[in-house]
Amino acid sequence: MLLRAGSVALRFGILRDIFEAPVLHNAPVRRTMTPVLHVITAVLVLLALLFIGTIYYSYRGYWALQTYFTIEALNTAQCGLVVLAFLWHRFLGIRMSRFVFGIAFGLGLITGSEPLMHALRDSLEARFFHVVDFTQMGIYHIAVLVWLCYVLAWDNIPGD
Amino acid sequence: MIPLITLAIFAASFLGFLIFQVRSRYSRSSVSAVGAALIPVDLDAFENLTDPSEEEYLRKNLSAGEFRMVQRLRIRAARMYVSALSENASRLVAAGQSARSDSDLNVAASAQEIIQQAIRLKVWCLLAEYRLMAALAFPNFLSPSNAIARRYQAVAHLATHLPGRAAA
Repeated sequence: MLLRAGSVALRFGILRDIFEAPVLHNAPVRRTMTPVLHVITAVLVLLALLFIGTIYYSYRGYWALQTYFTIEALNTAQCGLVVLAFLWHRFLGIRMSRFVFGIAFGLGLITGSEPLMHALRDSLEARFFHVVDFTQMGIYHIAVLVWLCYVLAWDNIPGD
Repeated sequence: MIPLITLAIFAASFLGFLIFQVRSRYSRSSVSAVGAALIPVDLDAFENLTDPSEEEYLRKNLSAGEFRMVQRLRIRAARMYVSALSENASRLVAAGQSARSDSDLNVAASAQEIIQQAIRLKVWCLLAEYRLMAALAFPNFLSPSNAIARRYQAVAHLATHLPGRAAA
């Protein structure tokens, strides 16, 4: 759980960099944007806590697993931030660089699938755990491949 | 079971969103947006709509109810101008992005400057939109600002240095 918490924290930093990518050389806009981003993140975390809390409230041992559900909520909030990152670039009219797009897409794959994988693991019998683990590892590898492809990439992609 | 179904729907929707982003990135329409002409905007008319002295004149010569009605009409018109300015800011960003890879270093540097200034303009337009919405709700207490008109003029002037720039 500590490793997962660390991973979730690291992703918040990556998401902040994705938001700041179009305004990296624009200090005034970055100064305006930073507190707004913090407020939006806080709102998304609260909404995610509500979402995850209402889903898992009827679970046995709910009150003993608060930390676990909090991490799930943070993960879900990151899905919202990934969506907002794409919408932010679209609003500014900025085309995401290949590198940023690849990271955002790969990050989206991971953050979007993790809550489902954990719920699946809780629902299945122990003999099927390895199926979920392999699926989750597969998603991670696909995300890494996506990052690598966009970084090393693809001169022939039109408009890229 | 319910958490699993809910999270599966959530994950599927999110995956659909990501796939849509990939498709829209490489669609023809996103590429053809570059080079679109700027929307003509009458900045004098916009400044007139947001002129504090004009507002003060109306406030003195109209009843409270009439002033609120007229002011709301002026603010709605001002919002249309801000919307056009925001769209032009997006087109300036697109023009800057296309010129950024120009072989002429001066043009590339100008393009980068235009992108940054156009992004600032876009954010100002968003803040101006929120201010106008608040002024629409409370026309007696809040007034629109015309500062964005001067900022737009400065950015549009920068764009004149780009080759084959979008006409204003």
